[in-house]
Amino acid sequence: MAKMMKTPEDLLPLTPAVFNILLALADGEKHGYGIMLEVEENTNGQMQMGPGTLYGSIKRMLKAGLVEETDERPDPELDDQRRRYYRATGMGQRVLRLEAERLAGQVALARAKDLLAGIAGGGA
Amino acid sequence: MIGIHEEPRPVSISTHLYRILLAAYPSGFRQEYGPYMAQLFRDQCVHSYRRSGPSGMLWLWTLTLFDFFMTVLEEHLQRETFMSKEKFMRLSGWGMMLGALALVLGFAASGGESSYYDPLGGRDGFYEYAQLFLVPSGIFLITLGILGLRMRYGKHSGILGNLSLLLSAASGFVSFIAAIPLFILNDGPWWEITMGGLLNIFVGLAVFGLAALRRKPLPRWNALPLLTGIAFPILLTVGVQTDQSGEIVGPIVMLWSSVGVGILGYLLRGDVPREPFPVG
Repeated sequence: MAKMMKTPEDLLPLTPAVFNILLALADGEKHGYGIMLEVEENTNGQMQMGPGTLYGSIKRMLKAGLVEETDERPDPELDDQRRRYYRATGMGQRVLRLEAERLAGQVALARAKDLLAGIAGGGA
Repeated sequence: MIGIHEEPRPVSISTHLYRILLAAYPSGFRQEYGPYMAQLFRDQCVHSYRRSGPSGMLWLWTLTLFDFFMTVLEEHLQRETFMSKEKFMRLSGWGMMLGALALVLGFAASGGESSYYDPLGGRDGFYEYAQLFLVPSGIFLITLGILGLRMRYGKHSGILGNLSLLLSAASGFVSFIAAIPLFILNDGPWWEITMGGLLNIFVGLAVFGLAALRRKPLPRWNALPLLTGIAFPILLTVGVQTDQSGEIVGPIVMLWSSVGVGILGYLLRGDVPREPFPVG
């Protein structure tokens, strides 16, 4: 196989959009609107993704093997054939964990430099 | 009262307009994700409308248009076959012609309204929806055409000509964005912003026309941009001074300006170099 396989480390750091989409998919498959709502909730409304950003990111994540489409439906009664569901692949979950560790390292560094003093959870 | 399955009009109109905008994405991306993007935008519209009414829709449109312009460019660039300059110029020429036609028809539709102040979709619903669709589309297409004009003739018309086309295109985008809430809300500052943007489109064209008279970048009809651009500012200036823009003069000027834009589009469409356009 001449094709070079990318390791999870090759994909770091993730863009905020990709990180938040993976985070939204960490606990199960969701459709586009479900992902968008969860990202908005997880970021306290600071990240509002439009359809172009969401599906542009999903396209690239599918290509990188971070997510995959799924035929499974979380609740068949709520199923809507007009929607497409996605879930994180094993690779996507590994990349998410690595990125979370990387960000945690950055936060630890900021904490060590006393930049988070006075912020909830930021004390030493 | 809105039933469970009945969709509010602003939602259905917005979804329809968004589906039209999706045409700007690369065809592969649009075919793969377009229906899902439209569905997601519709969900957002329903949510925003139920939560905040028209003002929520307006905020959603602002965010969505920003997202739209950024991601259209991104998707074309990532496709690595970004539309060539020649193709863009040719298409923008067609856009100008279609935009001029849409603008004329859109303003003609305003003549069919019996009252400018009744809510969208009342007894004048047909004329109002026609305006809602045609006027923003017309402004958007003309704006793309002006970008094509700048790409083709900007360098050869000097700093003044180049900047005036840039001003014209920027005003076009402002006018386009304001034209959507103008017809949905029928209230607020949108009329002034839309018409101010439209005025600056033509002022920019007129200034470009002055540069074109001097430097002659067009293959022929170098007086056309000035003739096209000058009528609208004169109408508004006279209208402000006399406190009326004229029931007869107004439509004539709009027709004059639109025909001029259409001819400019025709000229641009037919004057695209076959060889790759020089870069830099």
